[in-house]
Amino acid sequence: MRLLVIEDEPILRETIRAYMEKEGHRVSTTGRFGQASLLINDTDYDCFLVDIGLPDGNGLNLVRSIKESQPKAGILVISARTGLDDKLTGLDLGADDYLTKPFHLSELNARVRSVLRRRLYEGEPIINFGVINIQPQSQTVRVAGQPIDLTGKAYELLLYFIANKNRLLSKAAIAEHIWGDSMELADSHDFIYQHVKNLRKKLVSAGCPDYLKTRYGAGYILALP
Amino acid sequence: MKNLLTLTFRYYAALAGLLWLLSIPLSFVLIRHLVVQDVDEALLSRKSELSRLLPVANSQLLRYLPYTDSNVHLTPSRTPALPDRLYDTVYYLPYLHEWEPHRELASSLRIGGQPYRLLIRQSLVESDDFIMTITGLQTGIFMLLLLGLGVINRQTTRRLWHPFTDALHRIRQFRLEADPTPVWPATQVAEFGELHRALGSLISRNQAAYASQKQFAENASHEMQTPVAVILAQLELLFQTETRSEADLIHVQQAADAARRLAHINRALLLLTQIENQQFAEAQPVSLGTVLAKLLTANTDFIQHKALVVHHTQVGNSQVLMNLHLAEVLLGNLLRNAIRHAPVGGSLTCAVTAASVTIANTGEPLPFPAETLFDRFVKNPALPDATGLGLAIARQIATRYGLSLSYTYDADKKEHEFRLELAGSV
Repeated sequence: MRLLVIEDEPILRETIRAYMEKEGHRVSTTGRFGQASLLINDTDYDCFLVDIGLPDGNGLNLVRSIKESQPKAGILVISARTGLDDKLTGLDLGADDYLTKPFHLSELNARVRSVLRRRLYEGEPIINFGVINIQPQSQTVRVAGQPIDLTGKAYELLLYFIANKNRLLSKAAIAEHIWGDSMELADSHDFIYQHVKNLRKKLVSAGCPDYLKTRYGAGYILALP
Repeated sequence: MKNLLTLTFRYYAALAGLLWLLSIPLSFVLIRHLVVQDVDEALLSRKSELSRLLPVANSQLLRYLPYTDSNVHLTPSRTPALPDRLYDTVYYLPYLHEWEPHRELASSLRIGGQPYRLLIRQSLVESDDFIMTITGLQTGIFMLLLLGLGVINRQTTRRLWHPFTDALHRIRQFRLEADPTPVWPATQVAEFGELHRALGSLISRNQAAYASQKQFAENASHEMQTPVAVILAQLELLFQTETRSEADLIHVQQAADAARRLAHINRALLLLTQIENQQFAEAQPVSLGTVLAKLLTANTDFIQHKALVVHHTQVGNSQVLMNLHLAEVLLGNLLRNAIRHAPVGGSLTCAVTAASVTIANTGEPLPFPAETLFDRFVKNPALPDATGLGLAIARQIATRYGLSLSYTYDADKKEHEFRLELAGSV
């Protein structure tokens, strides 16, 4: 997929580029409002990552021009501002999602995937990983063709793992993805352990190979054996 | 406190009273002086008339004069010519049975070589009557003046002062965070025009200061969150490098946790600043019971994880006019605080009435004085990762909306209770 990352902080911009390229996307970047406007008009992208606080303009105006010139593309707004107004304005203007700095790269990746899936694969919404296959529209999960009962947080957890397959995910990143800001770190470690354990148990008992690897004290990786 | 016009009116009335008191003797002296002058002239002209007529008419007029005019006395005298002398005197008037003030001219005439002494007198207005009349007249004018002033005062107060009371009303209603600069009604009064201009510029300057403060708070958050985002992104890359040893991973994760805590504290401080700055101005009627019920559902995972026994009762629904987001933050912070500090298998009690919301959890007594519970950065040493700002934010929000937030510990039941009470509710 072709992504345009509009972010003025150079290290963050390059980090996002590297992460997204590793995910198999073709990534262009810019840190300037003016250049971003030109790229939006000249080149087609599948998804835009827009930082609102650019030094030479408001990213929300870029969201407007993206909606005009490339209405089919996904838009993910990134902002350091926690103000509700920005979030609501961004979504009102037609952005698909909103992410507040600081964020986990794995979270950004999951959100981009979700945006791309909703925007682009309207006809082909099936996610496959090994013997697991998921239909996001009906939220049904099958293991080797057999539907299993996986709902709510466990379902979200599985989607998140698949989106970030082959990457070590910290408990903090998992916690923030599933429960947002409502959980402070103090609570998270044992809590996440329980939830991952439950997910693994459900998959394994349905005959799924154990794709989830634990790295003690650190986090989890979902990978094919 | 007295009305400005009432006070002004008092000074006017005092001045009028003083003038009134001074004007009575002054008028008396002046008018009397004029009268005396006039009478003196009349007496002198009478004398010159007599001195012209008498030498010609001779003895006949001389003989009848005492009978025709009782005010003229002509008596032979031995002393030769005396100078004219005018003076005040009194005579008894038999028909009035009263002594009356008179003006008298003493002079001399020579008729046929014989010197005569001439006395001519004229009655003056009685000074008692005179003073009474003047006093009465002046008092009448004084009363009319006061009455007039009073009427004008009353009539004009409302109309003339309208721009002032209107401005006062607008300022009372004015909210810096939400309202545009007021448009003042046109006024003919220069002072009120000036007041409006001064108020207008004061409000504009405050609005500018408020906007810049708001901007600063937001920019500060932006500036701090971006470097933290860079740190966390780099740490995440390190974390995901496959060859990393587990010891390294733990170091990286601890660094990431600390950076994340920094971001949480920064966000919480920004929220506190924004509440202090009266941001989140838009308000709506919020049912606290409904918000709390939603929060309980959202936190089910945590509650189940700690195997807490929940007692949730609701009789009535506390309605508060406040910002919905802040209501969620307020109750969310109290609820999460209770969940976090309750022991595994402990109890969580939520009670909502029309006038209060109570959130309680079992647990050991506080390890610090209860008075400091709502202070910033006060936290349980057993939970070093907490920001220590959640309850400070809750208190700040409660204070802003006039809700009382109190804490009690029941040592028998080992229960911490947070109670939110609506001010002035029935």
